[in-house]
Amino acid sequence: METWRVADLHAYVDDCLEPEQRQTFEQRMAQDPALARRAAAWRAQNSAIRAALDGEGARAFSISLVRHQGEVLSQGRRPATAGGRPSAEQPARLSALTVADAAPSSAKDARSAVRPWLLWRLGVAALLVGLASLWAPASTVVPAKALAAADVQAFRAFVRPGVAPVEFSTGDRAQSETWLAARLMRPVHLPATPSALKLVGARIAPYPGAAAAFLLYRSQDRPLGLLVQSLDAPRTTAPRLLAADGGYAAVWTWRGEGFALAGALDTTSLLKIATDFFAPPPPAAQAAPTRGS
Amino acid sequence: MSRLPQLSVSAVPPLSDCLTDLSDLRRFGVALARDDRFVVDHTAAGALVDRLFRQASFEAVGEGAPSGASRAARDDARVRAFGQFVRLHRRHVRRLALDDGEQGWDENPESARAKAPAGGIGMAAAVRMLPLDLREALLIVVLARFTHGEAASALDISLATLIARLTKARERVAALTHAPLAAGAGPRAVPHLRVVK
Repeated sequence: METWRVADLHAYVDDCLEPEQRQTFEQRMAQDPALARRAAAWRAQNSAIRAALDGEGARAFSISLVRHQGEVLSQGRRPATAGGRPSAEQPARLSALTVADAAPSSAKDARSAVRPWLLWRLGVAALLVGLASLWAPASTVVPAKALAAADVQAFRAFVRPGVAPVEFSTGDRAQSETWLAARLMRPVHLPATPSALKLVGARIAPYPGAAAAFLLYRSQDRPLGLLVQSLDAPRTTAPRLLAADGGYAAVWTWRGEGFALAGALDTTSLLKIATDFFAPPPPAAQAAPTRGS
Repeated sequence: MSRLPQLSVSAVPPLSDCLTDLSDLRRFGVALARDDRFVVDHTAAGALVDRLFRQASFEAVGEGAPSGASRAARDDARVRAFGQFVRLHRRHVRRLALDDGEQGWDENPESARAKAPAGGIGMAAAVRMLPLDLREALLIVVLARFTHGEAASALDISLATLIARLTKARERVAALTHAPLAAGAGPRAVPHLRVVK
């Protein structure tokens, strides 16, 4: 592919072309299916990057806030701004990041000056963690709720009595992952199917900013819809039930994905099934496999 | 801090006044700063960005930021703000890399690819595994939605370099995530040069 053509392709997928240039490029794509496929792949990649890094994902779930603030308890010095620290894997690099930037020549003085305040800081941090644990559940508003709302809406739109509203009918999780990855242009990691459920199939569902995966399951002839969207958020400790758009969905995160489960079940059963998805009980007869394998 | 210019902040409005929406820059900064190497979580990335952000605002005072009356002036201020942030961040990462006993911040692409698990990794993790120069180019275009001309100006590189970096970044992200690519879209399976007898 010629250099000018690569530049045009980038300009096209990044919406940098003038209308007439865009039209010309679309005509060229109509004659070159390989070019059209490449443009579609890069556009899908752009959407996936925006969906994953929109900055709200990591703040969407209360566990993120609680975990980060909890980590402050074990730290002597933290960045000057509100926030936390790198995780415990790289404590030396953390000190390089914070102390060297603020005052390279007086790092030792800064450390010694911090010590008298350590107990006071620990007390304040403990208070903050306590307050955060009270405040955080109410703060999980935007993306977690958006995930739940998208799932409830998709369930309402696609799931009809007597109809299996899937684009790809399969009971195999791996096949669903492959089919979804090919259409969403990103890897999709699905949780293991709980023994009480049966996977019916997969389809693509709308989500703000990017398409999402939607899986249909059946539990004793009652349908359940699982919406899966790429989300840059830490793993939650357990699924949470959220009311959204007149319905309920259980939401959680795992392996860089956000999950929302909705269905024609009462909230207790819904949460129990979500918990089975999140932490399946190990099979009794054999060694427990790793999740998602 | 001694390296910051001794200027009166009230003399000229800080750069933040010239930008219509600073959340764009912050979002870009957090995504850029978090690399799973020096900055390994969202909160630390936010703290680092806030610090660099303050420095960028102070430095902009010395350059006579426009008052933001016209759209062109605001766009120019936006490009300049992102450019300043990128330069400060590069300096920060370079210093950390040197402290770490390395000559540069770029990592071997083959080792990066080797770190990815067999089933592929998430999109966010794949972006974080990119070398800094590729990450800058990809994020400023995709996340901050700069035009290519603006992005090249903010990153202080030529348009051709920007295109080359975007190509590498997109192909590498696709390889790391093991996302299916169109025919001919992935990295070359064979080297460009062959030994000819």
